[in-house]
Amino acid sequence: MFDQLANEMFLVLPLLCLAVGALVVMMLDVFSGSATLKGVVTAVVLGASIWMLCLVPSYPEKVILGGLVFGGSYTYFTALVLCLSAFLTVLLALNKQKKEGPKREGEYYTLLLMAVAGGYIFISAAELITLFIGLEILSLALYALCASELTNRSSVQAGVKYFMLGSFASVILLYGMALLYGASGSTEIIKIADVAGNSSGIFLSGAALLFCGMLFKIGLVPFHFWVPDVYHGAPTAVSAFMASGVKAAAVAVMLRILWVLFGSYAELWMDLVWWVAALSILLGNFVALSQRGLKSLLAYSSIAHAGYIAMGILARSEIGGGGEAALYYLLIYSFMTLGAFGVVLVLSAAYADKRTPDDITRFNGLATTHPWTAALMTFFMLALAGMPPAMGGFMAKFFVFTAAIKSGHVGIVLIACLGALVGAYYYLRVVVAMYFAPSAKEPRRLERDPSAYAVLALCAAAILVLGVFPQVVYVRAALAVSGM
Amino acid sequence: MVPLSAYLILSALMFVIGAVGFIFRRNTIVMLMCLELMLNAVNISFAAFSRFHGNIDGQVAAFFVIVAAAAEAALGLALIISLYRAVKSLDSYGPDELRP
Repeated sequence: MFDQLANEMFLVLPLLCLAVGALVVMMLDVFSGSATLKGVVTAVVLGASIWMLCLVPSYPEKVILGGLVFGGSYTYFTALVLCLSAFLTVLLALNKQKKEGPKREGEYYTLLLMAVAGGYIFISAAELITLFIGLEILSLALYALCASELTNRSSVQAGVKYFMLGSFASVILLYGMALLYGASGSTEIIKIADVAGNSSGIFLSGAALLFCGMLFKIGLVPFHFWVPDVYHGAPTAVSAFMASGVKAAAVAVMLRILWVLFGSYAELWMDLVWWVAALSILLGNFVALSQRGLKSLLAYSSIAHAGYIAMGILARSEIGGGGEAALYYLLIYSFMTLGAFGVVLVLSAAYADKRTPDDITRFNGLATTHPWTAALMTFFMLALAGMPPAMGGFMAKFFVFTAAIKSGHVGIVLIACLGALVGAYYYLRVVVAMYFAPSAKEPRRLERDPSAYAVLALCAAAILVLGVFPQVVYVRAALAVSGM
Repeated sequence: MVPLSAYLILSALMFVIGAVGFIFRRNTIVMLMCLELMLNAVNISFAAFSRFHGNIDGQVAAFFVIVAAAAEAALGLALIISLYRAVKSLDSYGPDELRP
């Protein structure tokens, strides 16, 4: 009994590391004023959990800790994406946190670690109450993170807006859970899936409410409206984390809910996901055309990319391989969007006192003044557009499209190609501004920020290497999905 | 003996009242109250189903929901205070800087 418990505790060691790490950083905040120290400790905690997640041998999903959480390759793979993006986010904003006025960086790092711990619980939850608690820990920390620049109006407004709409979605999700519990008499995902065959009205309405709540958390059409406002107002590093890590966690849970919990209702949700994916791709790409702020542009682009990932969820079959395509896309997209937000962060630090620090005109003539930054941004834009020099972005789209075609969804691939075509226009608009537009009159002073540039270089290298050798990730992703 | 359906109808009604209030009111504190109303509607459902199935899971869920609701209210009020300090308004669609 105790042996088994000890073994299972070992399997959730990364989670314990994150939770204890959050408390350590919180205590450190009391005793030390050094922002860099807290940032480094946070990075070390995240690095340690990444290291543990990498070491775990792959094995199929099983329920551990008395039915509370799943442990297995799928959980560890998606948790790895979450921890990795949090790690890169911390390093990205290390310098910014150091020099900002009111000393709040301790809270910032604590909340970030708590959000990651909550996201980990959310991903691994094997029953509905755990799922809800994980979601709430993740969301509450994120609401506070969004509003963490208390002197900045748009940050606070973004926080309040995200709080209101996010809590509304959580309640809808929770009502869905209550109805599912009512229809099945159990809160464990596997047991609910067992009785799923009898489709009573209560079960179906519960499933629909759960589905709507998840769409909101990922930011898919028709529950996407909060994404641009929140990503635009929140501090840039937080937006980067939400677009990469939090989205990865939400997609991972969505995949598990649809495939494991509602696996026997595939015909019912297949059409819904089809429409959601198609509308997200079209709306995200077309509305992004008219955006001037880079953060809003990236927000609409993230809606579109969530649509591409949903295509992978759609291709649920042994031959299609949609699951591993979606996981590969998630990992590469995390690097791409972190890189793009990272360049915006580095650049907009120079205009922090202006109203629109992330306006596209801030990029004018960047190639002549800062050729390396411009080259990195070009690489990330090409990756987001899915163009060949940035192999990762290209391969990610290639895998998802192939999976969709193999499982017989040709129509949505045509829509996605149209979306990608439109997307290329607005991504390349940034490149054109950097290389061909004349530089603004006022001089642009970018600070020396070694940790942020290290993150940008790492993201670019990861996109390139994982694009040229996709099997490194793809094989692990395939193992993870097949063990679900 | 009150039937299960009575509890479910009560819960659904409370939920809808909360949702309608949430959607049509602009004052953030009223919106927060509507959220609490909806959470408690869900709690009624959980408790009623728990009694119906004769197992304890639903009641445990209701307790966890109460904890989450308390945390949510605390954070929500803190956010609303900082919103008021920043924009001198409790309106969720007040002087809006979010439009890019």
